[in-house]
Amino acid sequence: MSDLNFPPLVLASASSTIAAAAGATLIVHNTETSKTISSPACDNRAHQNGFIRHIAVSEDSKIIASVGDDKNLKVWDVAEDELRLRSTRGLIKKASCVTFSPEGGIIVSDKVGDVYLYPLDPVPSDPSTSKPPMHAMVSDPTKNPDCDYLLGHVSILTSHITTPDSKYIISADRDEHIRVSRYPKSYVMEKALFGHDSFVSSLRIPSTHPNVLISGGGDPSLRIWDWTTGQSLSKVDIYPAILPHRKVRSYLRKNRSKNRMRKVEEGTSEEKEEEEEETFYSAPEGYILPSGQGVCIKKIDSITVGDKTVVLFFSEGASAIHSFMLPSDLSSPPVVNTQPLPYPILDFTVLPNQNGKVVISLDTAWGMLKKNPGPGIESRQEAIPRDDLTKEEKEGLDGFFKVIQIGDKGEVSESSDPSLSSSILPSLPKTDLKTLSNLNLYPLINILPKWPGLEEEVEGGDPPLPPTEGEENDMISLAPTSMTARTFGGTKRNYTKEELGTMNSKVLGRLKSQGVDIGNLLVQRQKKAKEERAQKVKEANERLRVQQETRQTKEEERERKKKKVQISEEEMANA
Amino acid sequence: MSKRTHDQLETEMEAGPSTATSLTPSTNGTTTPDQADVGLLKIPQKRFYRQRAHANVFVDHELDYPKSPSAMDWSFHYPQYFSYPDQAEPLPGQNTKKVEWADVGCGFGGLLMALAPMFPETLMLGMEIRMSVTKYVTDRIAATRQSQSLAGEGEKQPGEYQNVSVIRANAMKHITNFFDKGQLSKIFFLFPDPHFKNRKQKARIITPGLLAEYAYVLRPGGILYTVTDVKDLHEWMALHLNNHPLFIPIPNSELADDPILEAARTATEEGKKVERNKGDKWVACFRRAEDPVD
Repeated sequence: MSDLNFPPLVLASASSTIAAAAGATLIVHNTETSKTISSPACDNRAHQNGFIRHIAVSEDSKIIASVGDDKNLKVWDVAEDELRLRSTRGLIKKASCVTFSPEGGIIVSDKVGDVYLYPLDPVPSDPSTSKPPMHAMVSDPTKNPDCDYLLGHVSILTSHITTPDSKYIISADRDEHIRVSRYPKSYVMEKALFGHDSFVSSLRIPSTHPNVLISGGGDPSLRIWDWTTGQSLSKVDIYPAILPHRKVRSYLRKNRSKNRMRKVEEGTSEEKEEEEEETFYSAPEGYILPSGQGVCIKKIDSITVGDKTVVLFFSEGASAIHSFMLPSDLSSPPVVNTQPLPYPILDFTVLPNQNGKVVISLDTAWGMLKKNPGPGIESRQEAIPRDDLTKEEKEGLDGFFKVIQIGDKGEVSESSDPSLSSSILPSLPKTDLKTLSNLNLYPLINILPKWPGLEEEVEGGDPPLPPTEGEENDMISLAPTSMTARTFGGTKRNYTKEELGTMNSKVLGRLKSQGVDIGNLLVQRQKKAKEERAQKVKEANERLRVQQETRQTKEEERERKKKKVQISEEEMANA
Repeated sequence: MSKRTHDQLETEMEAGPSTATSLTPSTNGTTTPDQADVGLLKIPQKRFYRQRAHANVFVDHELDYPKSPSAMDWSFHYPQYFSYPDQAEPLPGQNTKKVEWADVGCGFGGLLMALAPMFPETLMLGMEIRMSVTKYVTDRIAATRQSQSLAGEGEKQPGEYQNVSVIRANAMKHITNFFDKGQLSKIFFLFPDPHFKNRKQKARIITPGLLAEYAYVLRPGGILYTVTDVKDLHEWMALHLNNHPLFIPIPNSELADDPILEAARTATEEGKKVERNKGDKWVACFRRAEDPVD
């Protein structure tokens, strides 16, 4: 049974075009001629391998770039009646953002933190020189002959954007950083925009406000910056709008460390007291969820309605789209409007020339074919096993597209555009139930937030000290307070013999340097260790001797047997 | 405290915790009210702070870093030069200086301890990702500062090591969180992890992407020092620095009798080890160029 449609995961639009990607298929709908064209058909396996994650449409709608799970950067020519594949290039790492550069090239940022500028058409490779091996290009991105290296972060790069004046490129990463670098001389870093407490996953410069940058990620608020000065202009609280609409959650990880389990338990019990009803983002005992509240702003966009600029955004895995009017006076916080939807949003894009209409694509299979993974399931989501679907259910699955109308005060209302849905739907590639239930449509909520307890254990690190009031039991608390020079001396803490006895030599040695009298414990231990070592060596030598002896006797026996056999053979021969 | 005999200690210990026997000795005779009930620090021994020589820079360490350079409380590290957050009035001379030298991957802090008395007016910071090793340098600085404060006139070193500190940080991720644009005048990369394996070379401390960040924190005219005993790594670092438009190589002749470079080559623990093993040392220094005009 393969009569189900791939969901349109990615949407984009330009002057007169809406582009959608479903599976490995790219579909382009011209809003003026109402014509829909799509890339050549391929089989189910090809769809899964080449599942398109990012598309970019050139400003004139003539060229589209796409990158899928197969790490192929494809460039398509949009002709009147067909979508022509212009070139295919292999990327080094999975892409996280693809845009067109001001001069018509393609800027690709990837999951290891590098940003490249690919020329629109591949550079003809010189057959006399071979491409450097992959590992060399990963460690030294400047070696990649296909493209120019722009810049790099030591983190997962999440988004990049070139400024309207084409002179700067802004890049954001998983470690809360937003950087402003020059373009194309991107080796000159101009500014760092500080303020985010969590990962940054989306950037947007509204076309009407060329100096304003809006950024969002896992934080409770979006930030509005003047990127030219680096000044933070305003914050927009988004948690109240998003939290009630979260649908898809990260998978649960087993909590392996006993020490940390305790910490987590303490944390959840406190939380329970604070908010009784919060159950969506709390892990059952023995499991952990990534930090934050499961919010991950996937896309921020802006739309001009009348003479007002309205900002639209959504969080990955949430079933609502949000909007606010970008106020002329940024000191007062804007009101966030919410449009709830029946399913988690996959993507949205502004319909060109329709004055405030936005098309949204939804994951209609959520809840019917898949759900949040429970404890013990390591995959990103749990498939609900179904043998077949009823006719009504199948029809329900096709309700991918929703159209909303943005008002000039930023308010959202439901709208419709039946022609759009009916023209794109037939072009969606077909697949079967099983594939549809297992598609990974929400990659970011698992990887962008930090998982607690990832710090690797320090070998021979300090064991926890017995708790004392007003003292933190971590390594730093062992540090003498004299770094602050308020008390110019060692630790005031008293240790009993028992306490000292339970510590390892490393800790004892450190305490000693802090002026704690540890007596001759260390010397005793060294002596003991020495004796133990000597004893071990003795035992080992003894074992070796015994082994050798037994081997010798065995060999002698074998020799004797051999001789016996020889003798008997000789005797036989003689006989 | 070492005068106390073992037997005395035993009896004290046997008395049990209820009597709260203090194993922490009071300072010897010269106790001032400030120092009452606190111990004398000793220079720590490295063997209690050893840690695997490699750290994965890409994983999420539980690090403590400021949200931005302006959010950094330097008073914890340089109490003589920065006022405490709860201090009403800064003392004269406080809050006028900024950290200017950074030793990225300072290890056991040999360079910092050598440079601190040579340049008592310059604030310098070591950045080290390994927890135990950072702890060692912290303890070492604390002990040195204390002994300096108690030392007689003749034994005092210029600056009394108040101008040196160390921080546990992943400089590859967070150097811009600590320093403003153009704040540093010198940055050291001494005997960094060579990451021999091809697959690991991305973790090297000098990469084309990171050089943009180092150029950002380094002021034009500032100097970037690299020293290593691995020729392959030296070639890698020199290649990328030479290729970077914002770094200009400094000919070795120009730095022949630079005391800082001499210290960078010889004062670190790794440098001493290489010397003991009679290994080679490769030095490359670069000056930060002015930003291009356009």
